[in-house]
Amino acid sequence: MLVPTRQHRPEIGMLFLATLLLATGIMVYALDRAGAVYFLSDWTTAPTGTAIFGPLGDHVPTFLHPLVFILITAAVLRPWPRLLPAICAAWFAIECLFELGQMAPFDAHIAAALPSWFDSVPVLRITADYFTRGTYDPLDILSIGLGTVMAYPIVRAFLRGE
Amino acid sequence: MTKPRNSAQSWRLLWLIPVAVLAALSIVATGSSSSDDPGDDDVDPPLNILPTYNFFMANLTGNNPFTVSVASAYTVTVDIDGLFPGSVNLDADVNNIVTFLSYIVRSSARVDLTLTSTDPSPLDGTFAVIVTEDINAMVYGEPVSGAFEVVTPTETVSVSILADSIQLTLNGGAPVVYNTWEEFTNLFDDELQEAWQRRAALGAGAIGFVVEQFFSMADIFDELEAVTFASPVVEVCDMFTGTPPEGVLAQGEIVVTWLGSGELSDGDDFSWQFNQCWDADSNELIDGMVSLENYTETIDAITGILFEIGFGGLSGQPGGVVYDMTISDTVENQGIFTIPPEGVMTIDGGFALIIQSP
Repeated sequence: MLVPTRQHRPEIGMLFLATLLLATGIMVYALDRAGAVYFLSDWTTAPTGTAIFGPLGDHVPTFLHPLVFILITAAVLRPWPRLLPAICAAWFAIECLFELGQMAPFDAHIAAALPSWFDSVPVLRITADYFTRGTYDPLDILSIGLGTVMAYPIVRAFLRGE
Repeated sequence: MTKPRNSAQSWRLLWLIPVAVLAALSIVATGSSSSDDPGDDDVDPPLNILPTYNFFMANLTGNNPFTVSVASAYTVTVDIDGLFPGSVNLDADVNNIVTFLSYIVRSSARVDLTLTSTDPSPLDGTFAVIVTEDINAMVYGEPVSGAFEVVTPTETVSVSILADSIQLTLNGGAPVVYNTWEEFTNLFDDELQEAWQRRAALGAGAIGFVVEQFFSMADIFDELEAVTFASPVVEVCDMFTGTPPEGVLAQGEIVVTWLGSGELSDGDDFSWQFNQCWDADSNELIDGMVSLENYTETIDAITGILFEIGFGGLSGQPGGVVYDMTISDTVENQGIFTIPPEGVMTIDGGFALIIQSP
């Protein structure tokens, strides 16, 4: 039976922090964007007109996302702590690719290349829309970079001495 | 470095798969919501049409290319490479009747044209038309700026649309300048002109034709709901102002039929039957049918913003605008109308058509 032990504390800490940050990101969408995203499409609260997170709310999710997934990946790969720079680099690249995919002309080519069966899977159905209707924003790239840079010392702190 | 203490730790690597899937889905799921599942909302907000939309065209699924045959002399097949992207500015009045104003064909739009002539022509073959700089134009008007290339295996013709002229260069050579768009596009019919210039003119005409067909179909979106209330809708066409061509009705009609039931909803089809319909303004006689298949519409459940509307999909979904029609020029002489053989154009195949909020 797998029981968390003292030796698992770094993983638990990283996963707990990742969960908290993920919840923060969801709150941005729920409170400031009033369900205007697919995963909260049943969230019918009308926009308040005042963004609780202010102008930062536009970029907080893109800042948190790489941070969260670097924490999760680092927890999974804890036995290999020297992979941390590679983990950070990989997530930075992945997140940037998704962001750059929203830029013309890549958006149209990506949407056209998606298989039509995506249309029958609820979440995948909006993949084409993500690229063609999403807006490429250089500040999002900056947010991703900041999230990645922030993740490194945080994970290092959890992995003290390893 | 801390090495794996046992092989069990290697199994941790498998956790990377769900982590990667979760990451990808969580990124995509931040895309805009749709009205496909509007939850428990009982009251629809008023429709809100934005002043600017993106549009995309794509090939129909299956082997049904968009093909235009002119007077049995030549056939042009249009193969859209991926998505043909653009954007349109529009005006929507208080009743949400939309008037399209101007449009942009985005750079990277590409179509591959195949010309097949009944009599051998130097233009026969397949070539690419690639938009290299956004093309700006008024709807149903001439382009005012932009650039495109017409590419064959041996030559590249660059066409620049400037404020006061159209400039053509072959393989980077000296430019050839035409003062008006009409002067340039008329090159195609001038057999004395060099083939590369005629091919460039055909490329320009093809893009113009594709966009014109797009807007002629997009123009009817605001009528679709009304059609569902009274299907089939019959509209009479203009009456010939003299003796019609032999075998042609003096006054034809258009019959629009909705092939769905209940409320207008995704997946519905329409048929647009032109029964010898004459248009006095263009002097064209239209006969045949346009099928509008697999309607799709997405409206934000909270704001009422129209996010997406069209026929077919962006990623190979079935449906689109399917033509099976003939357009004939009519000529009047002393009150008697005739159809010259060189004025008959048939259109087959079609394209998927999607308009999306930016």
